[in-house]
Amino acid sequence: MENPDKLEQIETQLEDALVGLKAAKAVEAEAEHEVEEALHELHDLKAHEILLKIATPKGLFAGIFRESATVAAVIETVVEKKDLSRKDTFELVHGETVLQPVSRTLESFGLKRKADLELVAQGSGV
Amino acid sequence: MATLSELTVTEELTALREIAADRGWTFTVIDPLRFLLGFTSSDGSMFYLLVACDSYPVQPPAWHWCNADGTRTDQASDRPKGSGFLHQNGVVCAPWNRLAYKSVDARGPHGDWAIGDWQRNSHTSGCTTLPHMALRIYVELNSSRYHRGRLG
Repeated sequence: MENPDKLEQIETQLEDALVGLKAAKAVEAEAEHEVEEALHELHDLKAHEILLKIATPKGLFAGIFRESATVAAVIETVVEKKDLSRKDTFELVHGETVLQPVSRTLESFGLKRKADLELVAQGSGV
Repeated sequence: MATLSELTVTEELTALREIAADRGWTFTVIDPLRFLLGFTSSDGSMFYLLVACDSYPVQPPAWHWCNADGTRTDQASDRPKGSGFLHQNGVVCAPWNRLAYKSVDARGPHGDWAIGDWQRNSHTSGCTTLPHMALRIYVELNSSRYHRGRLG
């Protein structure tokens, strides 16, 4: 006969493992859903188009642009659609890169197909 | 009855909640005037801020660097190492952070700014809402002004 304490310990470990497995499956399912969603979005893109997801001071903006669109044109569109103040000068940021000058195109910054960007007011850091 | 500060914070947190969910930031509302935010920096490390919004928007909010659950604030080990905006005194250096004012906090780099004028300060430059401030901090933590590491 096994030691009851040891059995109890093993049962607890098993329960913990099952909880961990369940959590991992949930994370996996969520990740799969996100990938599926992204693939679906990408599937809808035509050649030389890019899906931009932009975090703005008024929430998220998602839109499809030509990869040859200028940064200025993208900013103009987002400012209009999100009803942002035209008194402010905004800049788009991708990771460590500020997309300047705004006369350059998205593709000139290496952006292709899909990108997450941030829109912030220029000079709002000291 | 809800105060002006509570109403403003509630309204502005809608956009912030949306961004946080999309970008994988941690976001927890503690009470009607305080929330906790966590960002990933360019080197993958997490930084957290406890934001106190009493008297907002008459006065700017206070952005305190803190630990993951917000129980410990303003410790060197929770502050990013950086320059300019990520000030070596351990405060976010911007007119929209209450802690940047020497009149409020001894670490505040600016004795020359008037707190009541925070929205008109040229360095605020349109950064007058909570989601905008959060975005600016996130951008700075992913820029070259973040020197990868902590103050302590």
